[in-house]
Amino acid sequence: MNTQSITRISLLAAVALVLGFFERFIPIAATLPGIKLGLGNTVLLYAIYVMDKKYAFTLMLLKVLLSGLLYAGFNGAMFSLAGGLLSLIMMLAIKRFSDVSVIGVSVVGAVFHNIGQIVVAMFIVQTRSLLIYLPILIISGIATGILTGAVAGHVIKYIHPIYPRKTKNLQTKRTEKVLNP
Amino acid sequence: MKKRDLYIIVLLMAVALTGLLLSRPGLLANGEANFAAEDEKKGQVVIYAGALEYKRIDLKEPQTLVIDQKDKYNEISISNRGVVMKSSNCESQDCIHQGEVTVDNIESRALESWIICLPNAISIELVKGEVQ
Repeated sequence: MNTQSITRISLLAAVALVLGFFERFIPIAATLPGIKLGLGNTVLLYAIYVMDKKYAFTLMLLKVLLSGLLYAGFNGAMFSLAGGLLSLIMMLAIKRFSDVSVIGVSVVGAVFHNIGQIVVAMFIVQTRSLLIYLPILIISGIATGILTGAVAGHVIKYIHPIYPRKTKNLQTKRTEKVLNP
Repeated sequence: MKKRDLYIIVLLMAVALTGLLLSRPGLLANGEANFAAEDEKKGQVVIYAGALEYKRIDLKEPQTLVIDQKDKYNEISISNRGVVMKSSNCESQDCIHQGEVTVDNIESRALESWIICLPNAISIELVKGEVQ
């Protein structure tokens, strides 16, 4: 990693952290635990599309670690690590093996983020009762995934040209193809 | 948005709806308010600590129960109509926000008959019916 990428990844991590923090003040379903907008995922989507796998994983781990230290606590960090890992792997897989746009990738990410968290929760409490909550979390993941995917699509489209350096032709083409099929 | 995106969304939606219908047979019951008849208002509260059953209490015996495991503290209040998490020292307080489970409101709750405190690994289930 050179200085430029370190700076860039740190900036992105900071943006993701701030989004994650402010998200706590947007109550979209106050009575339902675990349902949130997932704005931090827009930053991760940006990293996936404009940078590459390695940076996306670094960014995800940074976000989990720092938000754990700052506000989520150890338990919270365990949940977001499980959700983050599963969701990132599934996002990369769907992007690689299927011809979907940012919105599809985002929906898959959001849904599997929720699935990962429920699985960890089931291990902690050792109860299958949480399975009844899974359908609700999948539906909420679809809704928030479409929203954050749309946001990420615009972000990638308009912010990407600011970094012409080092973004090789390949990446530019790839981004354009995804955004304007 | 592309066609493939829609396929994925529809597929996930189908999975979710199937799961929803399988786990909640009450959803298909014509939306009638099916309040339990007076003699059906029987039930018991089962409290689990982790995977282990900690205690089983009949609704006929209203009480407040304190579970104190080292640094994890939960106060559960059982009335003759249902059960509610009164207080908990966990950070999220999700269990408090999940509110009361009563014999009548099980079908309309997101977590059905359960109250779950993840950080303290306490789960409470309200089981309808007579005690064996």
